[in-house]
Amino acid sequence: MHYVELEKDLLHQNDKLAENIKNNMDDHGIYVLNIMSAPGSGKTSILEAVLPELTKKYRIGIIEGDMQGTADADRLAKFPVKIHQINTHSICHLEAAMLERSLLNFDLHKIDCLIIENVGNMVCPADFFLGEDDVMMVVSITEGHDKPHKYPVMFSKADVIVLNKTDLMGATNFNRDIFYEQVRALNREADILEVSATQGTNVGKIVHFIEHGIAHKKGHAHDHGDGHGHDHKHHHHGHGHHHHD
Amino acid sequence: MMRGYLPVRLFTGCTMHELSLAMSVRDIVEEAAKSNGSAKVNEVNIVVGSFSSVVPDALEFAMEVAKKGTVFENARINIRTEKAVVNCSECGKDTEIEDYIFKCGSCGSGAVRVITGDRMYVESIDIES
Repeated sequence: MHYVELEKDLLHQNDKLAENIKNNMDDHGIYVLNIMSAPGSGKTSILEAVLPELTKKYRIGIIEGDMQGTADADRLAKFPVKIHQINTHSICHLEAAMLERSLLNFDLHKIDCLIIENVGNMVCPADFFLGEDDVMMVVSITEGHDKPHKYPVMFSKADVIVLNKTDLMGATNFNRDIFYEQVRALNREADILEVSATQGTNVGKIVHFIEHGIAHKKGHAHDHGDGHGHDHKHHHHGHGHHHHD
Repeated sequence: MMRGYLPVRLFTGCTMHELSLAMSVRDIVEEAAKSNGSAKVNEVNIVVGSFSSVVPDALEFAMEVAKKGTVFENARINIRTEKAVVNCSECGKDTEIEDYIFKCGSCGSGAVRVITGDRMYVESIDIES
């Protein structure tokens, strides 16, 4: 009997695949946005709100992650976008291996931006890097102002946080100050965008964030020049995991 | 690359992601046993950071499924929780985090970064050679 020291990360395999995806996307100059939230926060409604504007200028690919069915993909079918549905069955998050297979359905020369709508879940998706440039987290007024405290990992990893359903603010006991305080305790950098996707309020801010990400990525892909002042926090981060192999 | 999944329908409701992670443990342990020329693993030591999304009990349960038919079928699975520690970029001190408020315990700065406790890894295995 003897001990073998390993120090092997459980997410090593996923992260390695995700890095490959990221390199591939970088080579093609494709901006990748991974959207995460609880079920019902409004991820699909947000896409419905931003796609009319985005598709005027950019070629968008969408990967829909759901445990079952194609309800979300069906809602987006009216837009001129390429959509691929991943059904995870009982698995409550997307993994890099699923994304890698899904990407075979796309012609990477024909998209500028890939939007991944992750499985609605506040816990699991946060651990699985998919090769994205930015994580957009959506949280809605009706979920309560204490969400950051309950789901710290996801809030700490977000590059942009969309506070959705602001039109319902008056109908709930949502405390904006507590929400901001809790978010800032975990994440000092992320933009917080207050929107109502169904009312169209401030949807332009999300469009702007995504457009900025696309432009930034294109700049990197073509001339590696980047001399513009940025308002937004598009992070070019690792993703929090320390590797010890 | 395809990865095999166990029949997760065994579980009711959401399996969270512990089963996926248990399958990673299986891959890691099987590979390590093989490369060390061992056909029997007696103990698997796993470390789960408190600032990760894993529930140790759920991982323990998932490991019972994942170890079936492997070199560590009868191994003891030890799961240790590692506390989250942040390092302050302003004063350089480390602070143990318990309440998910990322703040330096010495100078109060929010400019901190997690240095320990956000990983999940197989620390070591005990094999029969």
